[in-house]
Amino acid sequence: MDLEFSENQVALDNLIGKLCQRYCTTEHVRKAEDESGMCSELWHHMLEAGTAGLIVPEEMGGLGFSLLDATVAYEQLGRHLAATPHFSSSVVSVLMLTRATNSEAATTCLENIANGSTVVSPAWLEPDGGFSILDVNLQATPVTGGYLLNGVKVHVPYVVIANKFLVLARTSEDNHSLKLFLVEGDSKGLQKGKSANLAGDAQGRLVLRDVFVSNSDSITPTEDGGEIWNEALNEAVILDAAYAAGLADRALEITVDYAKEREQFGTPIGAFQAISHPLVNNKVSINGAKALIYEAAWAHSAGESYRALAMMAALFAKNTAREVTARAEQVHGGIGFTIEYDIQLFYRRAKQMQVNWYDKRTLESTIAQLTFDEGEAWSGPDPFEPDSNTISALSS
Amino acid sequence: MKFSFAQEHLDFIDEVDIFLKAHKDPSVMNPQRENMAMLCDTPERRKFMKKVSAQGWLGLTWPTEYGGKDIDGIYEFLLNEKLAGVGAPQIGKGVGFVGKTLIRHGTTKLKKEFLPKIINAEIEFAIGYSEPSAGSDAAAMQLKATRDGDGWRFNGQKVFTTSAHFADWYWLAARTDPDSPKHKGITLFLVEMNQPGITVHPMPAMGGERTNVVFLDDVYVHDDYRIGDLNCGFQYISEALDLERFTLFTFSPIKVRLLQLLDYVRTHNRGGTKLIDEPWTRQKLVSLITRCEVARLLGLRFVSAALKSDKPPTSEASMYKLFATELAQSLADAMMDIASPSSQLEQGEIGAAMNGRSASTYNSTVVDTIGGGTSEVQRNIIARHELGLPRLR
Repeated sequence: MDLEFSENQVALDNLIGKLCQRYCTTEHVRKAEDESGMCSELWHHMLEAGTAGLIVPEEMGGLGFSLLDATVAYEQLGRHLAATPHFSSSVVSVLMLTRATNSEAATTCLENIANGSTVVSPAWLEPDGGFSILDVNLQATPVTGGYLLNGVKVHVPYVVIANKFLVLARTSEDNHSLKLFLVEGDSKGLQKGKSANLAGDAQGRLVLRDVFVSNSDSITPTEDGGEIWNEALNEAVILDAAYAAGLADRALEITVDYAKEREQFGTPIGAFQAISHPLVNNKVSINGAKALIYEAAWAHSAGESYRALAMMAALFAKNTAREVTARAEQVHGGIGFTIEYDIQLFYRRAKQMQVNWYDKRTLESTIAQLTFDEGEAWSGPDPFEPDSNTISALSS
Repeated sequence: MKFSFAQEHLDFIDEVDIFLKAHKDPSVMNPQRENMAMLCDTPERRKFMKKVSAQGWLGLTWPTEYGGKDIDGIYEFLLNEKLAGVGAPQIGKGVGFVGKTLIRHGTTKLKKEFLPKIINAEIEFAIGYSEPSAGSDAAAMQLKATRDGDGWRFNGQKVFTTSAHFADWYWLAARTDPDSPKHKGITLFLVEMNQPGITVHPMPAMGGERTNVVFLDDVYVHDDYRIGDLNCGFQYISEALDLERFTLFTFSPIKVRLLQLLDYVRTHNRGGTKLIDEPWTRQKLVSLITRCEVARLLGLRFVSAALKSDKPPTSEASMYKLFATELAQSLADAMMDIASPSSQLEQGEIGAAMNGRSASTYNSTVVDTIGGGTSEVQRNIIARHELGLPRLR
């Protein structure tokens, strides 16, 4: 039992924390929202520091950090509301590409992500669809030497910035016949456009009209693109959760500071239990969320069952971020509603996180399926847990 | 970072496990006694505690000169989690704050008289702090001790003395100086329960549980049975919380209840559908397993912090207690709803869900967010220590 940070974690926490303090102030975040949607200076320096290859294996030019190491980096990014393509490119895309082991194109792409020359965006969701692979309808039609892709993708992160897209497409009516394609950003027939959204991020839509993709860029030899997609996301959500926990942590700090300064009825409002007690609940949830995130990441890195824990961490951390920021608005009173105060930046992003990279519906039903139907562990190693015979004996 | 226990801790857990299996006895181990399961209140349970003592598990953290093992407090935590999991009586007040306060502040006479009896499981204590007007504001206690020759006369009333009807001695806090500020006029005493002037009245509680009102009418106690310095009692009470670095609201019973519920939904139907396949039930269960793991981890945060420091991690303990006890109530509520209508039947009734566990849990978890510091008190502690928020003037 040792919940202290490792040397890797401390170093990474320092590095990302320092970069964010310099290049990702809330002014940078506001500017990103008004312009490209990206904190360009921060991203530039993150690339210089080699963090694009944070979890890319060393033999492919990456830093080879574990997800457990990376959690602290993501907490820092969340604290500062960092808007960079790191999650979509250097985490989600990397985890998908590392699963396409037999594809030369995937390997090259991983190396290029690690060296900072390529930004990849996953293109998954479609208009009026959800997070189920059954909602993927973009058509891939076999032609000589490759496929023609036709359809529309939405909620594509950093759509204008990405050089390549990982497109999930359907090859037949069969539910599970999905393939993953690497599509060049400047392909003929590919139209890109930004979409205005709740938190002002850089997402957008892709319209594909007879976009040709060669066989070598079809990176899943069999039709298991959907499984690869979900497996990769099951890992990636751990870092998405860490971002949410960092966001929540900072939002609470801002709110606590405000409650100490703001006086009404002749006293700082933080002295009123109607204010302080809900903030305490928020603090407890944040600490709980972080512990669950670390445990899921530790389980992943230690080769223990992590799939349900990762989804539970994502569910709990994102719910926590939403609760913390909603309470933060209430504690700020009227001023929290104004654009001038920073807390609104947190409030909008927390909700947006709950509807991206799986929503509550998907997380809850997947946790249920994994734990209740497939017997996946929902607890880390618990030496106090009695065996099932003891439990059923208690009830009879 | 590492979320598994060290090998020496796992070895100790195994050792306790083997012991518990060897001494399995439903009259001693009964999880369905819920909070009362921790008490050593029957002859069988006292006999069991003698066996625990024979294992050398009482006084684990005491200095060797008093018969202790002088090992880290985590072993008391590990032992109590195991005992709580099977509904056995736990090591508690005696080797805990009574013994530890005596070691620190007691006279040689008191140490000689009480420490061997504690470590040999020959004595049970009742604790007298709460009064009708002194609950969360414990320092507001009014029970009076006035000087009388070589000793003291006690007059007044205590409430919620859960062990009063079977304890041998009373660990009693009384007001010895009514003129000082309320924290500075309290002294601790040891008072023999079986003597004239002490009347114990039962206060029956929900779920068949029992606590007591204790009246003291001109009870005489020799000054030899005063603990430490005059008017320092409240300081010792607070300090004892620090000495009890690893004492925590036990988690195992919560986990056991959730596992019983999961076992129930796997084996029972409603309207021809297995409960575990019902979307309504699944959604509730997902929330419960997630919060349950979070509660367990908040406990481990406490353990990890306590292992690293000589000081008790006050905020971590409060955060865990707050979250775990509120989860215990949500779980009880969900057990009632999910296993309805069989959930309302008590143990032994035909068709009682989980052999009555839902009903016993629903009643018994009410006190969880009150005893050992209410949720509101915990929130005040966290607000000040962890968030640095001001007190209301």
